[in-house]
Amino acid sequence: MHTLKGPFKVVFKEMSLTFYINIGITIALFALYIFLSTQLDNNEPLGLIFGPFYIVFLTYTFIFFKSYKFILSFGGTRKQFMVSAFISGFIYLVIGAVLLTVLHYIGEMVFQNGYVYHMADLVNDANPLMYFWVDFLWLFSFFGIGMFAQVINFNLGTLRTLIIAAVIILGLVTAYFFIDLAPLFEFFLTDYMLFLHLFALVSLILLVLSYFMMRNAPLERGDRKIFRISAAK
Amino acid sequence: MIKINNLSFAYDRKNILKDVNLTETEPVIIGLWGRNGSGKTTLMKILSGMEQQDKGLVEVDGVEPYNNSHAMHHVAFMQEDHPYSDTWDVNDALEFGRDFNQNWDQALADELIDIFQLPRKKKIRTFSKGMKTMITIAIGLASKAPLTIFDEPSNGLDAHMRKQFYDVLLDSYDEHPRTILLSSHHIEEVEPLCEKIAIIDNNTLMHYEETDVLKNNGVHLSGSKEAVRSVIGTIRVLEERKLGRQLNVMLDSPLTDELKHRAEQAGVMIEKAPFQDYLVNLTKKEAELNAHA
Repeated sequence: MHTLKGPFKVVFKEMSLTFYINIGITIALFALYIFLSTQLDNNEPLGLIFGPFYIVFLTYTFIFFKSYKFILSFGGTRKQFMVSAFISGFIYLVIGAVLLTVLHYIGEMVFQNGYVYHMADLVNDANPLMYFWVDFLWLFSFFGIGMFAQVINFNLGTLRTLIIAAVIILGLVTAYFFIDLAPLFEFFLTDYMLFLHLFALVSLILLVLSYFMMRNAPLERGDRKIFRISAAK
Repeated sequence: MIKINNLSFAYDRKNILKDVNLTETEPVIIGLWGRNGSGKTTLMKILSGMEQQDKGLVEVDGVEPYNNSHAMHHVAFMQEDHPYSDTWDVNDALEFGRDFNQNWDQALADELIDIFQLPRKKKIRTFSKGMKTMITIAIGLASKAPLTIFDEPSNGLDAHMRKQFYDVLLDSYDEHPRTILLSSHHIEEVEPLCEKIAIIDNNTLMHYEETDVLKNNGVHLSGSKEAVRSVIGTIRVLEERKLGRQLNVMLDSPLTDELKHRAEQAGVMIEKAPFQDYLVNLTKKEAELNAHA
């Protein structure tokens, strides 16, 4: 019996409910756009359908992280939890990207007027594979950022995480006022795919860092000791 | 089966466990007793691989449990408030039990669910405390792990269910001998099942002995001060209470015929002390001695 089977099934099940709800919301949104497209006279934008998926993948780790405790309580390890989270996340990510691409193409066929915006619309001559790949990279990037944020939160606890978040926000606000960010926006628009791949690479690095932070993580949230102090004799 | 050498664990500069040593090579049912905060739960977490010791060696069935993916086949730790997902029903919990345990006995699991009359399709989050304990017991026993640990297994069970738990535990142990560790604050609840008792106190394993040896110890004497003192002799006194001219003491000694004879001759009432009271006083006394050392 492979030792990863149990941990994988626990994480996969924990992620499933959110995923199915998300599919329901996305399809409901899509149905609404079909209705709205009948009310439009011009080819105006109807909205987005990737929104729920992008938001859920950013916050997914906060939802399924409970399974860390379930896995450890059933005799699994921290490493198994992380590997299971990566595999389950990857499976749901592929399914999500396929679904968004399929819905986008169905939309092009069924919308009477108007269109739904897709993140691959920034790419010239995008094909179905490119639509899938752009959604995949965005979902992957959000998943990695969400994972890293939750791993920091789990290891350091709410207070220390909020302090770090405050420092980052102050840094970003300062950068916004004192650094010319125009080249960054220009880079985003002109070299969109390069930007997206770099974003995904950063996310991959964050996922690797998350693994190393979790492989000896504390049992309870916020119990990570940055400095180990020996016990009194 | 269990090998612990010089185990130490500290948290926030405080020693939770220090220099714990225990070796058990044969399948046996062990009662783990200790007061609140004595380090019982920490020891169980270390044995199950949930926590890592700071120092020392821990092996269960020949494997070191911490961060060892194969340890799940050697040890099952069923916690007092064992965590279950809000989305799980009994069937889900049993399915995961099977996935995590190599020796899983599905027939036994099904039998226990029937005995405990647990609804298979109901979410575990809606269960009462007793029902949650029952599903935890069922998974622990059906795991048939070489080391199965139960933390406060009878909490929340009524007398009838408790009796059923004891019966199925002993039947399962007879059929498939393995090491079972039962932790409890109330030794009388688990003592009838245990061949050995491990006492944790003062952050270490104070005693690990045959239940019969430990259980025979602890004698109450009551009578006039002079008469009681004449019976005590050189025996260690664990507890002493004065009530006017009366003196009540608990002795760290078995209730022998010789002691009974001496008490009768001195006109002192003698009786066996309850096991729980004996352990409380024993650990209290040893903590005092350690504090003075």
